[in-house]
Amino acid sequence: MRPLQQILASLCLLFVLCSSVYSATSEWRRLVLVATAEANMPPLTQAEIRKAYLGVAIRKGGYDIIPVRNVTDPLLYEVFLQKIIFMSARKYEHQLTNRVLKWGGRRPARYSSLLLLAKDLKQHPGTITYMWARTLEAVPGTKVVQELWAGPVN
Amino acid sequence: MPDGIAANDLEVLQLSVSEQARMWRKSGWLRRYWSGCKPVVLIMCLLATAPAVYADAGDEFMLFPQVGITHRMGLSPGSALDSNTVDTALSLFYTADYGQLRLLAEAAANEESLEVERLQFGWLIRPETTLWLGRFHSPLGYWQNQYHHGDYLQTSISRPGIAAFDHKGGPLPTHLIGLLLEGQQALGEAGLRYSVAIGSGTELNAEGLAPDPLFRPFKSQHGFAGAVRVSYHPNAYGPNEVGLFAGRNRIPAADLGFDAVEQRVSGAFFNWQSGGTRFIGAVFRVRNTLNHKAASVTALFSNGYLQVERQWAGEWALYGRLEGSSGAHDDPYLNYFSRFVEKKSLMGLRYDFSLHQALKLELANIHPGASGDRYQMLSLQWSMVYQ
Repeated sequence: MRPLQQILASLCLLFVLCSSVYSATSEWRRLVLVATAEANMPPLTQAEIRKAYLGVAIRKGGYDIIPVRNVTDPLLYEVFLQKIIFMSARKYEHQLTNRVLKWGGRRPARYSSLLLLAKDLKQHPGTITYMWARTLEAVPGTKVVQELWAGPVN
Repeated sequence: MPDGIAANDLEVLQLSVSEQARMWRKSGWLRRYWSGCKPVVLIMCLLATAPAVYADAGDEFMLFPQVGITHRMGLSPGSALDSNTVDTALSLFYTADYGQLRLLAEAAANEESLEVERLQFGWLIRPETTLWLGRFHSPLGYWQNQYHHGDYLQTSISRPGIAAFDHKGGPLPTHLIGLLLEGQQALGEAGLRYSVAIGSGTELNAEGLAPDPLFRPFKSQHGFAGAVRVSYHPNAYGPNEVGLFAGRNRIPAADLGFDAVEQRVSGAFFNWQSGGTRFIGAVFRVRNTLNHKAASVTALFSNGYLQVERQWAGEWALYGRLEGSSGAHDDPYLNYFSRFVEKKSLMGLRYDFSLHQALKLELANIHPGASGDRYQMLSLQWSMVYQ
C-alpha cells in the first residue's frame, strides 16, 4: 500500500472510531414544553416563552402563564437556558434577581422534584414547564404543549 | 390622640430606625455586644430565612452580605480618612404579591447604621404599570435604578460619586417618600419605560444630605422632590437602554443659616451590551440655588462617568471607570459634601467563583473635591446573594 493510501485509510479508521465514540456518548433528545392535561393551553412563541421566564406577565388562551423551572436534571436546565433563553445560568440568575430587586414580583419557582412539579402543574392550570419528552411518562396528568428543541446531547 | 397612647409613646414611634440605631450606639456596652454578635446575627438570619426561601410562597426573600477591605495610599497627614478600613454590610430584601397589590422592602445594615432603605406598597394597574406609595429610590440616572444596596449585583465595588446614596455623602437626594409611577409601553419588539416620582426628599445639614425619616415624611416642612425618567429599550426585555431624566428638589437647610437649596437636575444615560463587552455611561447637569433671606447664589456643575466591562469565560470580568466633573469647584453647594468624588479613575477585576458569590479587586485614583485630599485606594470585596 502506498504511503498516501495508508494515511487516508488511517484517517478513515480514526473518523469511524471517533464517530462511534461520539454516538456512544451523545444521545438524541427532545425538549418539550408541558402543562397540565386538564388545561387547553395553546402553543406559545419562543419570544413569549422567553419573556415569561424572564419575569414578564404573559396571558394567552385565557390563561395567566406561570413559568416554573424544572431543575431535576442539571443538563436539562442548561440546555433549556442555552437553547431557549439564550443565557448562561449565571447571567439568567443575575437578570432575574435584578428584575425582582427593581420592580418586585417573583422569579420562576424551582422544582427539584417531579412529583411536586406535577402537583403544581395540576393545581395552577396556567403553569408551564419544560422536560425531556422521555420523562413525560413519569409525570402523570401532564401533556406536551409543543416541542421546544431536539438534538444530540452529551 | 387615641386613648392609651401617651405623647411620649408617639414620639418614640416616630423615631426612624436609624435614629434608634444611633441611640443604641451611644451606650458603649451595647455597641461592643452588638459588634460581637454580628456574625451570630448574620448566621441566624441565614438559617431563619432558609425555609422561606425554598417554600413555594408568593414572596421573595434575599440577603446580600458583603465584606470589604480597603487600603488608602497617599493621604495627607491631616486627613480625616483612615488608611485601612474593614467594612461589613448586610442588605435584606423582601417582596410579596397579594393579588394586584405588591410589597417591596429593603433594609441595609452596617457597623454604623440600620436603615429601611425602601418600603413600597404598589398597586399593579396593569402587568407592566405600577403605582407605588412609600419610600423608594429616586429614578434619576441609571445606577440608582439598576443597583440598590447590595453590591453583589454591580460589577464594581464602588458606585460613581454622583450616584452615591444621599446618606453616604452623595450630592443628590436618592431616597424619596411619596408616589412613584413606573411603567412600560411596548413599541413592537422595543419598549419605552417611564418613571415619575413626587414626594418629600432630604434636608441639608453640616454632614451633607439627610433623608426624611421613614416614619416622619415631610419632617422638613418645605422639602420637595420630583423626578421623571424615560428610557428606550431596543429589545423591550433586554438590558440595553438609552434614556433621559430630569428632576427638581427643594432641600431645606435651616441648620446652615439659609432657607433652602433649589436644585434642578437633568441628564442622559445608557447601558449597552454586545457580546462580552458592556458600556455604562451617564451625564448629569446640576443647577443649585442657595436661597438666603437677603439674596440667593446660583451655580451649575456637570458630572459624568463611563464604565467599560469585559467578561470572559463567564466567571471573570475586567472593568474600568472614568468619572469627571466640571464647575464643581465654583458651586458652594458642594462645599457641604466632603466625600463627593469630583474625579476618579479606577480599574478592577471581578471573579464569580460560584453562581451566587463574587470576589472583586479594585484600584482607584480619587480626587474627592471639597477636601482636596487626592489619594489612591485599593479595595478587595467578597459579596453574595443568598436566595
